[in-house]
Amino acid sequence: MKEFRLLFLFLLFPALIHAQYTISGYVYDASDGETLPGASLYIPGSQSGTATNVYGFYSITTPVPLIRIQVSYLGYETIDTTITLLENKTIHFYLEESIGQFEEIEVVGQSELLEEVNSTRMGTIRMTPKEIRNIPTLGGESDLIKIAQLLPGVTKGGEGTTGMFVRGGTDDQNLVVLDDAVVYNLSHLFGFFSVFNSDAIKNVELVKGGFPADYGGRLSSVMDVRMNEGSMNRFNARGGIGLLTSRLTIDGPILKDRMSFMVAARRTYIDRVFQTFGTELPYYFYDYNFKVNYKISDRDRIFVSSYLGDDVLAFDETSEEDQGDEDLNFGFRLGNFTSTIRWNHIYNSQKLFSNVTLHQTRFKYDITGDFIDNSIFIGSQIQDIGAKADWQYFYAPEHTYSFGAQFTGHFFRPNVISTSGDISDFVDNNNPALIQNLEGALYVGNERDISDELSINLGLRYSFIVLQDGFYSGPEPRFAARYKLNDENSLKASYSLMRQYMHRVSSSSLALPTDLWYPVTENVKPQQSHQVSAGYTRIFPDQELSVTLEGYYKTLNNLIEYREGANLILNDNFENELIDGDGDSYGLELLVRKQTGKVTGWVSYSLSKTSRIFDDLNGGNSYPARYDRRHVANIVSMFELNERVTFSAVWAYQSGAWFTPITGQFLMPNASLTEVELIPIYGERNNTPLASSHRLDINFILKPRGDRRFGGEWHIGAYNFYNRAAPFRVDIENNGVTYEYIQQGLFGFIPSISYNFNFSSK
Amino acid sequence: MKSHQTYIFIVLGLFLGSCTPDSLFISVEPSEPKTAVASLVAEDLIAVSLTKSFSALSAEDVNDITEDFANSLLLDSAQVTISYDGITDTLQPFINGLYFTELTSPENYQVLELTVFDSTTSETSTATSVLLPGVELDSVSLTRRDTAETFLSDLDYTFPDPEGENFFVIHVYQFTPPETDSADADSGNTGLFFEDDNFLVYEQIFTDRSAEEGIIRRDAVFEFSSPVDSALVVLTHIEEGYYNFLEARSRSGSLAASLANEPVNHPTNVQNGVGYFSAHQPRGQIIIVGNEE
Repeated sequence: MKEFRLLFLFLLFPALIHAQYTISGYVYDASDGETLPGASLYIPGSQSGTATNVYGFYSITTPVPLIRIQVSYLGYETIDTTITLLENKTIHFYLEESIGQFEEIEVVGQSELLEEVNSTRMGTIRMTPKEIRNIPTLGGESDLIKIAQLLPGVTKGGEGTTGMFVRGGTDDQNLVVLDDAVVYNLSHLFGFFSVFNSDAIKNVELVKGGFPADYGGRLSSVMDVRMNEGSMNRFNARGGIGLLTSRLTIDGPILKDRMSFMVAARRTYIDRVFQTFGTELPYYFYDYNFKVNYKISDRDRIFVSSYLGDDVLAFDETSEEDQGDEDLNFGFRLGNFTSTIRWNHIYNSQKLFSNVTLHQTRFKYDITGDFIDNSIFIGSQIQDIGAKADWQYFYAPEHTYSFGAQFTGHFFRPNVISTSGDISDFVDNNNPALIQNLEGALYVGNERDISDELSINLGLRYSFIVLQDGFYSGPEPRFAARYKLNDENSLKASYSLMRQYMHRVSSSSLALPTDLWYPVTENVKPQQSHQVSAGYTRIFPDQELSVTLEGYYKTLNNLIEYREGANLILNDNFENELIDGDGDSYGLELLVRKQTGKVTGWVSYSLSKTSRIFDDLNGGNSYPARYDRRHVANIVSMFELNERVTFSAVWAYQSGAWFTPITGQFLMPNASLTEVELIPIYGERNNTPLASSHRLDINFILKPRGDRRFGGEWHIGAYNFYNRAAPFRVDIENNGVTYEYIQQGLFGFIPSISYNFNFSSK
Repeated sequence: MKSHQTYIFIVLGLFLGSCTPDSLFISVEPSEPKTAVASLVAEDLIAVSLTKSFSALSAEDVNDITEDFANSLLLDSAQVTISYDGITDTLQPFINGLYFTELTSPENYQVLELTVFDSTTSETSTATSVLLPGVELDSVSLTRRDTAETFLSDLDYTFPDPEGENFFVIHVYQFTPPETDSADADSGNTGLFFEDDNFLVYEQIFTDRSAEEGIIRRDAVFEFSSPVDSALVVLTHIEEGYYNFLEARSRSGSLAASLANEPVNHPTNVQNGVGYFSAHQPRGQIIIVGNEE
């Protein structure tokens, strides 16, 4: 405890020293008034700087009465201005979108590159809507999660699916928040599309390591997704018509310069297409995003946002001729709902910024079936209601404090089973009591420059969960440091302890959207990880290029797995089927990224090894994690060939995942020696690698002549251009002589075409 | 218009179908053949079944096993002995990899040690098991409640729980008595369990945790394949290790099912082998199936 008191003293001591003048405000997109999170504010005189927070707010306090400041943001023209400071000032910066990347803008991006060297943040990657929209993915649909899978340290699960495995973690160890509300299910269409409509996204940040103290609740990554806020000064409409979905987003002012809205909708229409051809395809998904942004004053803003998305399958085969005997109805509905109310407030000092959020999220699925005189219902639901308050104190450009508190009530009702008819003799009804618990955390963090070269970020988070019959808690120290070798080179290191109070229970063979989220209990302990990482960052300002090399080592404790042969279907007693164990992962990640110029994109390579060890699995011996992919390499590139044609291509390579084949069998009579069965013999767990996968996706973006108010884009591309099988599932095939294990690729060469448009009222 | 739509679908289907990538093969090292053991005790006779394990990719299920292939798996030329209390009984090969002997001096709760020497490979496998007493059913009833499509039956049975912690398995076989005037009856070979009409319809393993005052009462619901008049109910008192083996077996599936299920490694008490050597003594009753009132 003494150590923690010392840590608090260290964190708070510098606040006692007085600073002089403060300028603060927001950085906006000049065209529509949207705030720009992560915009860089660089002070060349002191070679220091800061960045806007996730709400686009900045605050700089300096003893110098005259400062030159460069404000930049990717894809926008830089403002380079000198400000006289004889008192505290509120100054908002409005950045103009750069007309085209053909017009070389000398300073664009340089401040941001410098920020990469200066920042203590590690394992953090920000993605812009433009990158998300231009990078080709399956079916020509832009997909945030699929693009995240192309980043170093992130591996995918099955081919084409949205599973993310970050630095040896599992898919449930990623905290994905949309405007501060947790999104539990990330996929539509059985995992092939993410739930995020790229038109509604403003900013995405993925953190894989070196976690700041305000992030917690999951072990492996945090993906912070922010919705567009809507233009304050003009109406915009944008949308797209693709092979599988169509989407439309409208935003604009409700009260000019005071209040704006954004509404986005997306739906598959393949069911309608099939219907016109007289064929039933009883499946569709849809999602809506909605946001209202109200600027009460220069110091106060309120945001209300919501997301609703569902996948619906309704299969109805009722025989008209023989009604009653051949009836078969089957369906499921699976979906997320999130809603958030946030209040941003700037205190009088202009140095203190607060955000208070009320949020709720719900994920549920219902499966129903009716056949002859039988019916079955299987359902599961998790609902969170929570509040969080975060403060940031901008003591000086090189010195920031953050502190806050987060509380979330979790309400679980897993695995409700209701049957009627003869099936009830075989399947027990299960109506479990509502499981309630309260998860919370308090945190404090301090980022400061110790010297021109050394900067540190210290944080302490204390998290807990109150169960109906128990309590878990523990400190989560965080540390990050940067040592600047010169303006273009820096070394970084970090340590994070993370705790996770819920698990997603899924099979090692299959990951389904219907996998259950399950809270910790007296027997199922919280997961915990320690991660240390070290890295080297170098920028090449002339080439507008950044190079990051990071190594990490991570231990994982209290992971859960199903025990061998666990019954995964209609099981109402999961705790009996779960076992706990540990794991570790280490690796090296290289990222070369270019975000400005005619050619943009990145090259990434990850070398990693991930193991698991469970007393009750594999004889207690260590074994490779299922998605322990040794080598992962990605090349993502976008070429602006001219003002009307952009070509983008993705080449992705991954070593194969692992599986446990049956290596032998034997004939075994039953206890009465009256019947004979085949008994399988397995080898070591995950002892056989699947084939590596690689594929090339391409996309041409053609922009017909438009005017300033209306623009359109044709996206013509192909997924898996050279038609290589990427293992999706393992199958058994009889070749006429014997059986053999084969890996089937789900998607071969798939051409795509879509049309995107945008319209502005002025 | 309809023909145009069909044409479009055919062209699209062919286009996408032609672009389905070829599957990739997975090289799996087969496990070395091992001696597979199964056994039971009937009265004073002990029967041991010996086969060889084989590649996983030789068969997907039992129906894939041809007679020739099954014969190639049988271990017909092994030297098999059972030792207990200083006595060693040698088992004689009978048929289809089955070895029998009459135990010289069997007593309940004796520890029997099985030794199998495979002369073709010069490998020796050993296992031990406790000779557990057979347990007779005190009462058993089967009540049919047929509907037009289903032949559900309610099974109720009771039996005494021996001292200590006990484990059991119960089997119910759909049973049609053989024709009394058939040639088989004269030969003494009823072929009871190899007739198409006689097969296992229900199996359940359980412990004695539900015993009250030394009596275990249990019930179950299962389905016959056709409206039957009689059934064979077999209760077997088994060791905990064999119970775990049967539990693992109930959790595992076929080669194809293994792709979706968690791997299950079956426990074994056979050193240098697989399967389970269990000296259990099944006790069966043929009962008449009643109709629901």
